[in-house]
Amino acid sequence: MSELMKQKLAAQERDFAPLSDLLKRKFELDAARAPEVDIAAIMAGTLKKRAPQRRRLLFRPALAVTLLLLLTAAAALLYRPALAPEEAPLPRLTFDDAERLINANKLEKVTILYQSGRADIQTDAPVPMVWVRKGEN
Amino acid sequence: MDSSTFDRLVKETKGWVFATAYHILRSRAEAEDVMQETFLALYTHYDTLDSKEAVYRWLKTVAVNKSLNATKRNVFVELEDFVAERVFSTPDDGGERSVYADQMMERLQEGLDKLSPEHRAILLMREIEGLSYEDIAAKMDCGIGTVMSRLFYARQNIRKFLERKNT
Repeated sequence: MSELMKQKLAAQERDFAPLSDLLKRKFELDAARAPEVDIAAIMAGTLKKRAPQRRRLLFRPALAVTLLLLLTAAAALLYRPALAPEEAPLPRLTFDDAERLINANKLEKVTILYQSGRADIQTDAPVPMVWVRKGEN
Repeated sequence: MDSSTFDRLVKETKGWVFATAYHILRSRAEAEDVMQETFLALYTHYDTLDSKEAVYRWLKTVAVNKSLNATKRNVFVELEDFVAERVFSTPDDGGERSVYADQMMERLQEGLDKLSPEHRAILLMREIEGLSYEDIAAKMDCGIGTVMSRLFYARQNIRKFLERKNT
């Protein structure tokens, strides 16, 4: 395989000769454009790399992904559907007032704040059962 | 190493160290970095090299290896360089080159851009340095078969690219 490849390469090398000359010419031109070497910094041990400063401007996948996630989160916060407004707190009543209002069929809803005991209240109100504080029944 | 020896060595070799790095990296900023790093390495390793020939051989190998390493750590094309090279570059050899030569040089540049850094490195070692397949294989730490196939591919692709551009 190696001999066959060598023959193919030799034939290719002959065809490639003009381009090879061009490559050499290009190499010489690049060499002539070489920038200065910072000899003083090398000898003093203070040589700094220059390219990384430029690289900071470049597109970085990690940075891009982070920015994309942040933007998505911000957009989600801005455009999420408005939450239902919180209901106004029900007025707090004493047990006696609650019982009186239930009996008068004036309460639609009863919220029990203390649940240390239990009692049934017979009422025509929409709330058939309430939890009451022990000792107040 | 004293300052004047180092200064003389740098002046003698910086052209091809830079051109080698630029040939492989296709970025002036990266090539400049590699050039500075190569000379920094030379400054610290100089005492281990026993002759001028050894220094030259060492510099060539280090320039190629550092350039190939630089391609691994930076896979992104620098926008700044791209713009500088493609938009603002002008021939700087006194206008002696013909328009045709300029066009060919530009196309060759584009053709080289299409190759991988490894292919460019092998092309450089064979076409410009004139190294044997065995020497290239030793420098690249790969088999002779790999060197041959990469060289074949590199030449073929540059030719095809230039032919396509000419039609």
